[in-house]
Parts: sequence; structure tokens; C-alpha cells
Amino acid sequence: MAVVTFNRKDFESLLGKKLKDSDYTETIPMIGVTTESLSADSVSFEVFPNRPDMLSVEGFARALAAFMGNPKKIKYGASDVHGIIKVEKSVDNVRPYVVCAVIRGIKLDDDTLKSMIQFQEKIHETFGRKRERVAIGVHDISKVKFPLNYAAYNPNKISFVPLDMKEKMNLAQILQKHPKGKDYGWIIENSKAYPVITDANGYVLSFPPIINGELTRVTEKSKDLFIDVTGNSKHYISKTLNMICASLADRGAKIEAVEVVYGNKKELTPDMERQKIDVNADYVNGLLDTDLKENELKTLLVKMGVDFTKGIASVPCYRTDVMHQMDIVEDVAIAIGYQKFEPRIPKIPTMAERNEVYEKCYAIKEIMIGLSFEETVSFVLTNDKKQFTMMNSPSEECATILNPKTEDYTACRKHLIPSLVAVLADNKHNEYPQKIFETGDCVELSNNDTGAINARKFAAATCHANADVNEIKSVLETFAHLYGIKYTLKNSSHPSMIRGRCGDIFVDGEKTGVIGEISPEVLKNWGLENPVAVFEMVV
Amino acid sequence: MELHPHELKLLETLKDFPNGAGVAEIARLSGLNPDSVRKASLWASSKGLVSSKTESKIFYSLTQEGNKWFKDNTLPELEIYKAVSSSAKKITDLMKLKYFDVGLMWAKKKNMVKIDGGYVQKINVAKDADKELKNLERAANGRSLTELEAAELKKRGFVEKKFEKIETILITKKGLETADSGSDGKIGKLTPEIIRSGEWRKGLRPYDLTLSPGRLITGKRHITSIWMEKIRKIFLDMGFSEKAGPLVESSFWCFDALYQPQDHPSRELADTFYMKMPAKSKLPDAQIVNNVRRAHESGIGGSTGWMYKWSEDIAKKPVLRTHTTAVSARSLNGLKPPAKIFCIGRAFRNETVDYKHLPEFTQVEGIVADENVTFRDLLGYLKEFYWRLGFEKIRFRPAYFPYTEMSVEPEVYFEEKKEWVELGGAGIFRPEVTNPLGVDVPVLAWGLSLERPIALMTGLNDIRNFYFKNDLKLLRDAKVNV
Repeated sequence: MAVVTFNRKDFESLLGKKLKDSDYTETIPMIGVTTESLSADSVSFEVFPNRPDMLSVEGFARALAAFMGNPKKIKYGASDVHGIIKVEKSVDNVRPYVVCAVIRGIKLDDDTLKSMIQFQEKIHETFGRKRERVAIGVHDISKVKFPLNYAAYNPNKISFVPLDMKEKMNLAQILQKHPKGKDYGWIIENSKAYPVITDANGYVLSFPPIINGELTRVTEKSKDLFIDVTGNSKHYISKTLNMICASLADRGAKIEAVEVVYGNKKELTPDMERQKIDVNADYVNGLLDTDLKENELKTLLVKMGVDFTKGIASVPCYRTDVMHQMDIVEDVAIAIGYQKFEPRIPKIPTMAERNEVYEKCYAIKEIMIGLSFEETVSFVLTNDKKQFTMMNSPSEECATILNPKTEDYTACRKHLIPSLVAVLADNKHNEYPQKIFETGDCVELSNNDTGAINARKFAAATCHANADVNEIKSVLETFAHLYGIKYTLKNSSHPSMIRGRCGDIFVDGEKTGVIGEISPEVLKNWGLENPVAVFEMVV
Repeated sequence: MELHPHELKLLETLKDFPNGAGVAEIARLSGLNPDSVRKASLWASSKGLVSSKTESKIFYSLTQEGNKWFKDNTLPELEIYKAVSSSAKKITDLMKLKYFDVGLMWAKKKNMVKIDGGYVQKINVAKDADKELKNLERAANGRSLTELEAAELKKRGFVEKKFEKIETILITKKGLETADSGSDGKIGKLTPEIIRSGEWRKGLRPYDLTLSPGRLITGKRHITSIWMEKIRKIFLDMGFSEKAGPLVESSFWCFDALYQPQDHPSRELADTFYMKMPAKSKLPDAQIVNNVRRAHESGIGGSTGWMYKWSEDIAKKPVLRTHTTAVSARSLNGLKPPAKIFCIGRAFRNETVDYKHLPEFTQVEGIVADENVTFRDLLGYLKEFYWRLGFEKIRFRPAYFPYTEMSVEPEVYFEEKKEWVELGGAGIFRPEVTNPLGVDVPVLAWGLSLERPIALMTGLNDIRNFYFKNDLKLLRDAKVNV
């Protein structure tokens, strides 16, 4: 989740209100953000991914102002059309959409610039899915000559000076050498041609989603800006542009539109129309157990920046999270305040059904505790070494992980005995005798829908100076009697166990487990100095 | 003075050792086990009857290598020496010997042999080597070596230096007196013979019951199992049915059916364990798949959807389930309300281990489906659950999850630390989740942490200790009555 840091003075000035520390820790969390840290100069918030508009200091202040009963009265929208950008068909296969806006009369002091850069970074990282879905370019417009062109080029055929470089580089070189090219090249590297925005003079403004040109670098002296947002979804880039434009409008800038031309289709961007959504008051009241009239709903929704008249909610253009009237219900609930809802328990007549496997495990635990065995709980995650190599056992096919982060966890366990042996190996410093058992899920490959099933198993181990297979056999004997199963043992061999001291457990003619004394080689692998006898069976 | 029979035995044994004796020796002579001796001496020393002193003693124990030579009763240089003791031998002939290199090196070093014109000749007797072998033997038999005696053996990796704490227990003057008066003819342990014979009439010696006997090793449930059982009971008591689901789960049930868009960050390789084997899972009925596709692409039941192209291939990727909400998603399919379901199960995240994070953890999952349930009921169930678990103060904060609206994070007040602690997530399932699975009533849902409340309640802040290492001391000491 994204954490943003704002200059406290700037934030409170945008909010139009001085806040006490307690407002930060008590009131603000009730909109659904966490105050991460707070000082006299700065404040950090953790913003949930459904409200990217609150990643900017302006958007955050705007939301909070409304929530605290002081909504900003700015009508967002573009006035004049500033110019044209033509979109060539060549971008269809690499990054098909662009929306643009022109910002006029912005005073780019340090705070504004910083917050704009932070917003851009956070949007790229979260809402923009590491620039794959959305990439933003901000330019000083004074160097730009309209009309613009958005087209894809052969990576070796076009070059320009990218930001933070002194020399011209072609697109292929930028991907190889520029830090941003290395970070984001993966998004476009499989395409034959890369997208570029150029102006009427043929100068490169931007190579989205990688880097802008040095030519249009924004400085504190910049007054008018050109903004491009590119991506593979018109919806997400339009919302992003709206968030930027609204933020800059909050700082007093004037927004001008750009005409985006796709063949013979023309679109004016930004489109800052409010989103209309039908909201049924009964639906809201039904989910919240409230009895709110239309005017009460209206009052509450204003706190969330939403207008409500005649069953229609009108959602501001920078909100990205409203997909269904349920989202409006949540806005109402937040406006009321979660703490105002009194918890209650409904009467829903249902009969509890116990899970059979867990019930069996419950009985197993009862018996094993009575036999003075200590229950252990181990990870399902394991690796080939612990599961097979250290058990002197040949590797078996089992559920394995594609992207393990460490060598410790590369597979799911298939057997419990290695888990128990590992516990004993970790407990050599503790008092003996050590008698332990575990009931737990193992995973076995299967033909079911997921390709693997949980196999609930049960295993017990005894480890002390006099432990041997006879001891664990009398445990099995007692267990089987109390649990009510009839079993037979057949002498067999097992790579982890001493030859002649191990057997297969059969219940109803079916092999369900093994019993035996762990071989000294295996004990040595685990550094165990006391004999260990075990059995394992399917629950 | 009231003495425990073990104390009496201890004192009687020690009477004959004015310079004290070790625990093992006392145990051997008294017939008590070493543990009882230790306890008895602890009690007796608190009464001033015995005193003890602990000395750290250095000893040398044989390494694997040392043990081998000890068993063969030889050393490499002795082998060479033996081979040339009757007459000088050609080096090339000696090379056949096992340990030729090492043997020759040491034999030369110890001036036992010399090389002359391609021949190995003996010069001196094998005195040094014999002595070394003897020292090895002494170390093997547990006898002590001086530093000097051990030096060469240590250098050669035959022995290693170890420390042993030796506790000597001495009887005090008061102890001696008590031991004498303790033989008052009264009877200690009551036995069947004594009961039958009536000998007990001589009088039974009183025991001091205020002494701590030490704890026994028992069998019991694991801490997480104790708490899991408590939580199971809470939900069963409230009329919830228990469900389980596969640990290896399809992306479809783990994410897609829960309306998590396919480019959602939590689906990335950095957060989710994807399976190499099995490589692919099967999707459910075409109708469900199409409903879910529609929910994502263009919306269902009045929703706009996420507005992107949904891919079946991505939905088929098997993962280790990242949350037990996958079990709830499966439960929704074909659900007949009213229904109350819970599940306590493992979930996995591709995380590196630290005191707060484990790649494998347990979640407490629950859903309530009924046409009349509301947001207040969601808060009600959560409050009731935590109250029954032992948390009296609870509050709810707005949160965000892709699959619930009115998403909340319940927080309980942790009295000892005076802070609110977040314990999981909850909400009402979005219509985009329920609608494709054919459920048309509101469904309350939660996925709560099992480990956090345990950590809070038991004070075991580093969850690795009890969950991951299964430290038996910690498990044996943990309370059962929670």
C-alpha cells in the first residue's frame, strides 16, 4: 500500500483549516487512511488503493475538507481547446491510447513541484501498475509546437536527449542504458516499434512509458504545462488525467483541452464530466440498517464529494473506485462513521456442522495427549533436501513452487515424518524424553481441478536414550485400540529406517502408513544423538 | 526437621564423602535418578544441609578421525614405521600403503624414519608416536589429559577441547547432624509390605510438602492448536459450519472469483507462490467462468467491472492459496442461504521470515449469507467473536479489499501495551463476487489472523518460536486453560 508524505503547512493551507494532532490520529483514519507519522513539518499517510485521488496533497485535502464539512466549490472542466494530437495506427500494438491536457498559470513553487512528482511516482507504482497501465508525462509547454503526433517508431531510427542525459540516444539505447529504460523497458521490449510523442518540429517530447525528453523539462520557472497520459486502457488513463487536472485546478491553474485524433474519430481530453450512477435508497438502507431519506443521503454524500439527487449519485471525475451502487453505500457508511454503527447479532437459524477430518484429528489428539505425546505444528512448506535427501530417501514427485524466495521453501510436504525429525533436531537442547506428534495437511499431486489435494496425515515420534521401534509399536497398538481401527503390520523396508525394524501399516487391507526406527545415517544427517522411532498414517 | 525421602537418601549417601561427590556418583550410590538428586540437593541446600560448588573442567573428546585411529590402535606414522622396521623399503613400494602421505610426513617429523636414495629407512624408535597413541586411548576412556599432552592430538584433529561443568555436592555440619537424627526409625515410603505387615505403626515420617517437586513432562496440545480449538468452539457455538479447502488452489478461486483484477499487485510473483507442479488447474463450469469473466470485463448486476480483457490462462495458474477467502469463494458457489460457514486454515505469502512475518500462517475465515444481514450484523459477529476470545474493546476502521465493500479492519485494544492492534479484514462481499456465483443475498465475510491474537494473549511476540521452531520447552510451558 502506498504511503505519501505531505508538507503539513501546505496540506493545511490547501485544506483551509489548521488541524490539531488529534485530528490526524482520530478523525482522518475514519475516512479510511492511516496516519503513519506526524511531525510539526510533515505528515505521512497510508492511502488505500481504491482512492488514488488521495495520493496527491491537493486530492487528500479536497477529500478531507468535504469530510470535515467544508467542501471545495470548484467546478472541474477544461475551457478552450489548446491544440491537437494525432494518434497513428502504429501505436495500436504497443500502447494504443493517449489523453492530454494543457495547464495554464500554475505557480510551481517547491511544494507544488515536489507533490506533483510524488503523485506521479505513486500513481505509476500503484494505480498505473508500474507504468504498464498508466504512464504520465509532464512537460514545459513553452518549447512545444502544436500539432503533436503520437506514433510508434523503429527503436534504432529515432533519437533524442532523454531527461538526465547529455547526449542523444536512440530508443534501443535508452532501454539498455538509461536507468528508467532498464526499469520499465519490459513493458514495451517485445514490440517491434516503440511509442513516441513528437511536436510539429519533430522534436521528441516523450517516449512513454519510459522517459521524457530533456527539451521539455519542467522547472520552477515553468508556468504552462502539457500533460500526456498513455496506456492500454482509455478508462484508466482518463481517470489519471482527471486526478492531475483536478489537483492543479485546486492550486488555481486553468485547464485547457487537447483534441486527440484517432483516424477520423476525435476526442476532447480531459473529460471531467461527473460519473452518474443509480442509487436506490432502499438498497442503501437495507445494507446499513438505516432509515435515511433522500435529503439525508444527500447531506452525507456531500461529505464524500458526491452529489445525490432523485436517485442518481453524481461522482466527481477524479474518483476511480465507484463501480456499483454498493460503492456509494460505503461512502454513506464512512460519512456516518463506522463507530456510529451499533454492532448486533441477527437471529439466523443455522445448524453447525462439524468438519469430519478435524473431528477425527480432535480424537487423535485426545489419545496422543493421554499417551504423553506433545503436539507440534510445522510448516507445510519444505524443500527437497529436508523432505528426501536428509531422510536418505530418493526424491518423489510432489507439489513444487515456481518462484520460491528462499531455498528453505520450495515444495509442499508429502510426509509428516521429516517434519517431526526436524522438530527433534531443533530441540536437542531441551529435556528428554521427547515424544511428539502432529496431525497436519500434506499435499499430493492428483487429477482433481487444482492438480493437487490436501492429504491429512498423523505421525508420532519418540526420541530418547531408550527409544526403539517396540516402544512406538505399543503406542500405535494403544492408539489403534482407542481410536477404533484394526490394523495389521507387514515387515517392509524404508530408506529412512533401519532394515528389519520397519513395517507398513494396513487398515482394511489398504496401506495407510509406515512404522519404524530411523536409521543412524538419517539421525547423523540431522545431528540427532538419541534413537528415534516413528509412525505415520493417513487420517 | 521434615525431610523428603530423597533428601534423606542424599544426606545418607553424602555422609561418606567428606570432600563431596558429584551428582552421577550420588545417583549411582543412592539409587535415585540424577534429576531427583539435583532437586533433593536444591531443597537440602535451602535448608543449609548441603552446599554445592560448580567447577568448569576441561576435557578432550575424540573426533571422528581420532576415534578411527583409536579403534585401529595405530597412527599413520606407526604404519610406515612398522613397514620399514625390519628393513629399508623403496618409496615406490610404500606408496601402496593407505595413509602413506600423512604417515611419511609424521614419521619424518618425529625422526622415526629418513629417506635416502629413494629408500625409507628407520632411524629412531617410535617412542613419541606410541605416547601419542596412549594419550588418545586415555582421552577415549574419559581420562584427563594435560594441555601439553593434548596439543599434538588437537593439532592433528584427533581430539577437541570441551568444557564440562562439574557440580560437587558437600554435606554441611548441620547436614551431618540431621542425617544422624534422620535415622529415627520412622518409616518413609509406605509400601504394600509395610501396609500388610503393620510395620507402619512405628510411625510415618512427615514430609515437607512446601518443597517444589519440579514439573513433569506431559503431553499436550500445541499453542496454536489450543487456540484453534477455542475458535472452532466459538463458531460452532454460534451455529457456523466448518469447511476446508485445497492448499494448492487455482488462481480462479483464489483471485478471479473474488473480483481481484488479473493485474492486481497481490497476484504478482513477489507476493504469491505460484506452482511449478501442478502446472495448470481446471476451471469450473463454463457458466461460472463466463459470469466471472463478465464481472471483470464489463461488469455484472449493475457494475461497470474493471474494464480490461480477462484471461482464462491466468485464471488457470495454480497457487498456494494466499488467503482462506478462497474457501469462502468455493463455498459461495451453489450456496443456499441462510448459511453461516467458517474455516480455519493455512495461507501462504511469498515473504521472507522475520519475527512478524512467516511465509505460512493461519487465517480464521467466516461468511454469513442471509437476505436480511446488514453492516451492523457484520460488526456484531466480529465483536462477539473477539469478546468470546477475550478482547473486550473493539473498534472498526474503514479499509479496502477488492472483494468487499464496507471493508473494515477490526482492531482490538490491547490493555498491556495500551494500543489498538489490527487483527484482519472483513466486509460485505461485492455483488461482483456473489452475483457470478449465483448468490443474490448479502454475504458478510471476514479473514482474521490466528497468530496475532495468540501472540497478544500469550506474550510470545516472536511467532517463529512456537510456530516455526516448535521449541519444546516453550510448548511444554504454555498454558492450556485459555
